[in-house]
Amino acid sequence: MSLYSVTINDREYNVRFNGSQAFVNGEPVQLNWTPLNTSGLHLLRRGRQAVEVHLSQPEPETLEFLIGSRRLLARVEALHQRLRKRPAASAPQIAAPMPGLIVSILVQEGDSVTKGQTVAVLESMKMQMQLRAAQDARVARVLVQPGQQVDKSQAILSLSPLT
Amino acid sequence: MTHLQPKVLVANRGEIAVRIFRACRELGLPSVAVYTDVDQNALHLRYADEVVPLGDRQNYLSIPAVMAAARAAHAAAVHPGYGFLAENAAFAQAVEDAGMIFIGPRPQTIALMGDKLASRQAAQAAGLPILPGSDRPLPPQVPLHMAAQVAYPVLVKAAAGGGGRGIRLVRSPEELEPMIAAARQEALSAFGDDTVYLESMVQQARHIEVQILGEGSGCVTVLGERECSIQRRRQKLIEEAPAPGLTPVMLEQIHTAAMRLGCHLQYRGLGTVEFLLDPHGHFHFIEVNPRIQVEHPVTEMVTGVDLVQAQLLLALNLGRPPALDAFEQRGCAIEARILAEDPALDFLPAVGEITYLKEPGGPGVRVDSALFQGMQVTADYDSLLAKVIAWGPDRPSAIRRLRRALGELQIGGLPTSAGWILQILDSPAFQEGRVTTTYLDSFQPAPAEPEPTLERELALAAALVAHRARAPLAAGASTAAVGPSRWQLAAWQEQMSRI
Repeated sequence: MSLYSVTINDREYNVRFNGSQAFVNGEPVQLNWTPLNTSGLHLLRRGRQAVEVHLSQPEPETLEFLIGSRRLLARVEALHQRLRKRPAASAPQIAAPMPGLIVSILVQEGDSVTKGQTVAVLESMKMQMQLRAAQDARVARVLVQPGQQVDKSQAILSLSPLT
Repeated sequence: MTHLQPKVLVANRGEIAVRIFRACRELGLPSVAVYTDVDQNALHLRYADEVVPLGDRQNYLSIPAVMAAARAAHAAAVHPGYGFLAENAAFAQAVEDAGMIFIGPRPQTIALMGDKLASRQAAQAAGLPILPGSDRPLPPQVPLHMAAQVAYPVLVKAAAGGGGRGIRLVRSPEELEPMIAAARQEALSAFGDDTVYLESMVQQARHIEVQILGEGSGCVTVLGERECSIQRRRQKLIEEAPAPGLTPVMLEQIHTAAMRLGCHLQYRGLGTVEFLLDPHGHFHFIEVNPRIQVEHPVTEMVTGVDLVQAQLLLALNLGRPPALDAFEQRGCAIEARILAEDPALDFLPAVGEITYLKEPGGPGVRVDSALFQGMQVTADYDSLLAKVIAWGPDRPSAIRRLRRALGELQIGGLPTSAGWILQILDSPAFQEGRVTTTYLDSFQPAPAEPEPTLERELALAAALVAHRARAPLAAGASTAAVGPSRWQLAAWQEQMSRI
């Protein structure tokens, strides 16, 4: 028996395979699903409906479904893996959500910031976006300077807990 | 015959470059694309006859780099598209000084229209209604008698701004001095010029613009108007032609005003005269965009005039497009700009690979894009992915057709604004044609309707993918790599036969 947890739109579904049967949240579910080519195009038959679905895997545990113009991301975890996994013990930080240019840094090392406070401004694709603190914290280090080009996920500030 | 045709260099990228190359091919004009280091695989290169490198990613903005490319390719003419150097008078001048044809207005006209204060004065001289304002650059210190006359809210505008940039809103007398100072600072850093002026703000305004085409001799053709009131952060998202609900008298007035300004300027080439329409039915000149615009396809679809071909034919002196004398406006066309951004994350721009692409088609639908599957969307240029345009015999059918087309549009790998555009199209205010430029300020995307049975089926499909990827290892298979390639045809069918 294999158990998976699948999260779509913040809703979690538990999928269990038992021999030739599949259960979602404990209920048996039938799936009429036909691959149409080798690059991810599928036909999903639902009663009298024929729905075109494109499936791709942008990240190891994430699948992307395109159904018409809708785009749904599904996070998949094998449940026995989740039990072994421990939360990563990395220091909290604020990172660039996308590549861009640091326009300004609005805090200094040692400042305390409150949740939602704008700490830096990043310019990307001709737009300025405000980077905000996700929690109350103290600024441990400022890791970039205004005018600097940053990559996606590059750390901008490191934070430490308020004492 | 063909070898005598002038060669056209397109100093742009993306969908507008593809659009111009298509017109060149239809007219049998040889064409040249330019590209930067990050655009070596860009789609627009494949629509040109020759391609010339520009180097650095910033170089679509470099007059020396583009001019060197034009000389190297022996181009006879340069089309600037929109954005980049399109409204740069020095560029237009450099093209003409090199003995080439600039496909656009005269450099002096571009310079005049680029100075928003000067263009306001030109409009006034041509008899167009302008908004109350300071008429002159603001002095460093605003005199008391002047400050006392200001009606709030008022806008501080940079003379070198335009297109929604370099504008600050002042709501009260206390804010006036600090906002002027801030606007000056911003204008200096953004445009290298701190000249600012005041202009009244129209509340509850609609954005209406008129398409003109001038032949440089005073003769100007008006090709109808467009409404572009659906804007976010002063950037247009949905545009349509004609503007819904304007009376014949209002249309006559606004078209005549645009024509008067075009004649006054002896306008050459394609241009757009932009107006605000206030709730009392009065319109006010705001600015002229001296170039082709992003939203030009809606005018093409209702008039049947190919605006880019008309630009090329007139500029290259290949004859007056016959359609200009015989067009009739028919039906309604609406354009949706599809941007790489995530409405669920406050419209955060998105980057990444286009992993799947299917563009809509069928009756009355046009797609202008420069997308291909496998393309990398980067933060180097703007976030416009595609324009989807739908035509219908009347406005309700154009809206229905655009909804249908957006439902067919599939872009994988990135979030886009398509779902959010669909929600705007469905809103009663849009359907009734009564939106203003601030409509989106209070319009929040509704969360997607949950579809539990569909999600259950997709969850099962997703789990199968993971299961299939793990199964060979569990069974002790040693040869096969585990990855996407494994959830393909044969494997799937085997799996499916068991469920």
